[in-house]
Amino acid sequence: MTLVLFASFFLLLLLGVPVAIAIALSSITVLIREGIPLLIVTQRMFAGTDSFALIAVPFFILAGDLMAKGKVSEKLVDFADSIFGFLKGGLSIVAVLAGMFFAAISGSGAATTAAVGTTLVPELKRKGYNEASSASLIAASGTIGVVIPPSVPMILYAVIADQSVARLFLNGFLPGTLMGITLIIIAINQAYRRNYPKGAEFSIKNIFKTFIDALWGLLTPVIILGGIFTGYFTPSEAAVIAVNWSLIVSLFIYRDMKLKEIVKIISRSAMTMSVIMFIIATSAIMSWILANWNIPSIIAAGVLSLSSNPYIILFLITLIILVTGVFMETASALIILTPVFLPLINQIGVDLIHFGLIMVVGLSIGMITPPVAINLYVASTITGLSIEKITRAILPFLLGLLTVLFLLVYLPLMIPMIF
Amino acid sequence: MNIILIIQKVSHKIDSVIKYMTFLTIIGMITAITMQIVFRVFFNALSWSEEAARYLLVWSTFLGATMAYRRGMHIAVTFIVEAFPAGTRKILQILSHFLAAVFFIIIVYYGIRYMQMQAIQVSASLRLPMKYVYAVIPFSAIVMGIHSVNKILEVIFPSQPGNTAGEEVS
Repeated sequence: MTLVLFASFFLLLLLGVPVAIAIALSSITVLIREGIPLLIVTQRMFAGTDSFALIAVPFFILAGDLMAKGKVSEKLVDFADSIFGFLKGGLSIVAVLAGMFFAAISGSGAATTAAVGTTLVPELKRKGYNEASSASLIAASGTIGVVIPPSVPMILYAVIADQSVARLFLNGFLPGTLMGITLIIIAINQAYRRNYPKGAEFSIKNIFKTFIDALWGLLTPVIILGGIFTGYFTPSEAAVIAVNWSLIVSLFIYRDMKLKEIVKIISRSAMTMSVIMFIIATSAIMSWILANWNIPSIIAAGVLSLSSNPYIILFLITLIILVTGVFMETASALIILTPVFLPLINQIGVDLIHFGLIMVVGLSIGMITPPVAINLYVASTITGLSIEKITRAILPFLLGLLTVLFLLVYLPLMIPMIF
Repeated sequence: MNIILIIQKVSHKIDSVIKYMTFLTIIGMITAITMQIVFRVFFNALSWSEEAARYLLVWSTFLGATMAYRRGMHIAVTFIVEAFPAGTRKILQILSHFLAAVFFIIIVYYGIRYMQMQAIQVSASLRLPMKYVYAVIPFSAIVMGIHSVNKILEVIFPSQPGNTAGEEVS
């Protein structure tokens, strides 16, 4: 039966059936074979989406989309530029730093790539930076979008694994910052080899001025994350506050958007989120099947009979996460993999928050590994470069991010560093 | 008027209505949760806002899913299908939409059965008849079913005007 479930699922996927529908149809096949009334299908689809915690998903997407369209990303870039622009290859540092700022506003990798890319690419071109390298650096920085909170994949993981969203968010800062620093080091190295130009002179006055300009954007993470960590509001409420805040900023402060544009952005985000939520809905059928027949526990027992060394098991799981990320989009991969691995992770005694971070960082790397690599596609659309060109240039950054991932897998096993 | 054009038109008309409905569910959620926060901080906590927001999330999920289906936005593994020559690709596309249609038909049937089963149930705080909340599931499945027939016809007769290919939200 496990075989029927997984074989039919993969067959449907390869035929090009959408992930959500492939999950549903393979589950229905099993239910029919086992003679279970199909009423459970609609019942589970309803139960899967009827969740207050998941309300954070549409609104962190919407807040990110609203901020990406308006002037906020421009101001964040200017602020980062005033701090690091004077260095050799300073614009590369600015790209990563702006990505990290934006990651603290947006919960998705694509929105982060789009926000930073649209603002910075013309500037990078003008200053004679290598185009493919710059595009790939922006795509790579976009991965930080889901690691530094807020993060849509973290919310999904928290709901599936029954963990605290706030704790996951809190623990996302360190790996996210580490990813940023790694990318900056690689970018500076390239800047020296290619002799990139310096930017404007360093001036405290300029830093202060751009800081004030960017303040509205920079306040967003302070409000939403501050609210969540103090327990003042739930992550779902924080997401709605983020939307209200970005509406106020773009309508009344920067006045960079018309009402009509906002309506359009809301409709687009509604579709983006419903694509994820529809997978959540149908995967609720599959997770019922998994739980009913104890499939994840059977898989766990099978793996543990081969090895019970957490180092080896985590290595293999991380490989599976990375390979899945190559072929699948982040949210769908996370929704499918998480319930399968949970019992195994519990048995080897790894903290579920730690595992959530591995999952999110591992799948975020999947955003820059083709054929399914959303950030590369966004970067390609912005720059007009081919995916092949950007892919070739992304290798050093990819290796850097992989290093961070394996540090994240193993360091917390040796040093207690998950809060 | 031939049948292809009729289906195309129906698919398009329903979609433009659903676009507004989805927009309203999102605005409804923002309003409900904003009120929840405001009332909790300044007055007394509301009892209905969380439930309303949850049901609106269900509604926006399934309504939005129909829009995403019409625009081909649902995440799929396409790089294998795209590697085939045009003829095979067409057959695979038709097969994929057909399989999706089978799923939608199952959902329509069992969605309505589920509504009937819960006919007398009301929600905990809004006292809303639950059958109306559940109705979005069979409703969206009917809509996606119509879209999938339209999609299949578009693959077979690609030269029709007003194809959904490349359609954006406007």
